Amino acid sequence: MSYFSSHFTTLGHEFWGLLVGGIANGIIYAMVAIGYTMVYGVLRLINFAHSEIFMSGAFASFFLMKVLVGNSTPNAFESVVYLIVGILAGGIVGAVMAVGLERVAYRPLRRRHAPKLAYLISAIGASYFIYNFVGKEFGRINLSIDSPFINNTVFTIFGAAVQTYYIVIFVVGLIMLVSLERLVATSKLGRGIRAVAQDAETASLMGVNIDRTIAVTFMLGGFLGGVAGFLYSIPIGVVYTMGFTPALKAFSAAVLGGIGNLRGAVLGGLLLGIVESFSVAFVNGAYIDVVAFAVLVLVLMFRPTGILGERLGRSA
Amino acid sequence: MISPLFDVRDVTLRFGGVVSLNKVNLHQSRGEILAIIGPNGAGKTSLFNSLTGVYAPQEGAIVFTNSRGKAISIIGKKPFRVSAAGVARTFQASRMFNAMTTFENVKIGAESHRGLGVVGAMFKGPGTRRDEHRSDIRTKELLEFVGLTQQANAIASTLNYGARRRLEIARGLATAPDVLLLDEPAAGTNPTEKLELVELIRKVRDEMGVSILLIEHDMKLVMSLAERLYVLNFGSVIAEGTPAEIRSNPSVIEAYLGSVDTGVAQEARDA
Repeated sequence: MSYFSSHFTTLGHEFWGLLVGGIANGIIYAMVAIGYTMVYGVLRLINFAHSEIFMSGAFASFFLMKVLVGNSTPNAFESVVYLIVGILAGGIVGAVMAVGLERVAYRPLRRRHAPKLAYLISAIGASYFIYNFVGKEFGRINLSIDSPFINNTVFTIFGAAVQTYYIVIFVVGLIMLVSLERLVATSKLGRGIRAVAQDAETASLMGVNIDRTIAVTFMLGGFLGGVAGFLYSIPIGVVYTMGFTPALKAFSAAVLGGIGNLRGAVLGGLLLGIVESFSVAFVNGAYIDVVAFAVLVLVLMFRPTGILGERLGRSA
Repeated sequence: MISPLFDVRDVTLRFGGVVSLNKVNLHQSRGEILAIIGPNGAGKTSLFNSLTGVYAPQEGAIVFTNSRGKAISIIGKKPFRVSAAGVARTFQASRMFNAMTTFENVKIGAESHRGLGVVGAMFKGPGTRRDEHRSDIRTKELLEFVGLTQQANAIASTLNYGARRRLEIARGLATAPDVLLLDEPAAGTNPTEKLELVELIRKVRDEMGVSILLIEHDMKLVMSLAERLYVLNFGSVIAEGTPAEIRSNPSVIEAYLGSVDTGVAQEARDA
């Protein structure tokens, strides 16, 4: 009796704090999950090198922050400028990496109508190459980032402190996720992506340039992944292997919500972030990853296509 | 003066050792309604796929002449480039974007030739808005032309067969083509819908000036619609001529009688 009651007491005390932290984590997972889900939507393949896009975005912004922030204590205006620079750097490097990856690791296979398994091997190879290259060039140690802002408590919600870092994630994440959803749902580019996702051959016969559409899909997913890498690295710094676990969880989040489904990726990401956060109240923090994947397995047992089901076309 | 549209010369298409098209010659003039008939597996759809850039035949030439009189070689071009050149097609089995609305299905074709609009998608400037507006107007016109204005906002998968066939035609016309390739446009429709389709296809040619090339199994429909026919059998053209000529051509009758499709041959003579 005492085990659960005491843990529920902890949960009661820390509910809002855990929720805020969980949502923040969830938004980062969602931003990475979008990249997996969009590529799956148009190509029916999992881009397992997406973790390295996340890592590259984080590294790019890390070096910029190092130069920009230095030893100074930024004021509010400087913080905003640094954040925007960091977001652009992470996003652009992520996008360039993603498009480059598509060009080098996937498009040649697509040209030759390679079996799906070949893409998987190609992705794993690219992933190993990139993170080992980064490890060799920048050292295999954790490099801490110079925070572009002072992490104050901005306000409290039911006694839970909401810090600047969380506000940044909420604002940046929401703007990016909503813009992407609108873009896919209402723009010509989005219609092209949905058309290719539903039937690439027909889309091509109706004049949609498939190669360009696929490249742009990688670009959008890469941009969000790179920005997520930057946001993720702010409190903990960067290291060449940093992409692996968060990206694997984001992939799980995409499957959880329904792979190929944009809203599913966001829902899955948020759910995973919140479940992880609350699990801390019940089990040792070391078990976080176990809980996350146990939830994935449980959900998939009852809904094999994920919570919202498949299809990029339908979701948008 | 008759101006050329499609000029197919000695086209051979192979898949491994299987010859799908064997030295096919075909000519279509601008404004013509031309039909390709033949038993199942005769190579009709392969020919369509070669004309639209989906397949690249190993031998021969396919020259398409667009409305400005420019001759374009099709073989080796990607489907979206062939589409941009002025060739549109519909599919035997309906290949709509099922999760989109009727309106979106047509709009994709109406806007596809003005680039992808990556920048425009992110920053909706006046140029993008003007393009969107133009595509919307064109889409509305096309839906009205085929009689689908009422169903504009319906999800495509909810349409009945007749409406789907009309949507296919509107989608084909959306790219503003010179020629529309119709792969069994009447498949799955009832007799009333068939009559309406024949009328619609004629209207496409007469009012929009779009040439028609069609594959169809329904002999009655083909004989009443087409001005000239080509008969394919085992990948080769075995006959060419007006409906009256084809009906009395002994090799056509033999081709159909030799196949399991005897009913079709009967229909061909009766029609």
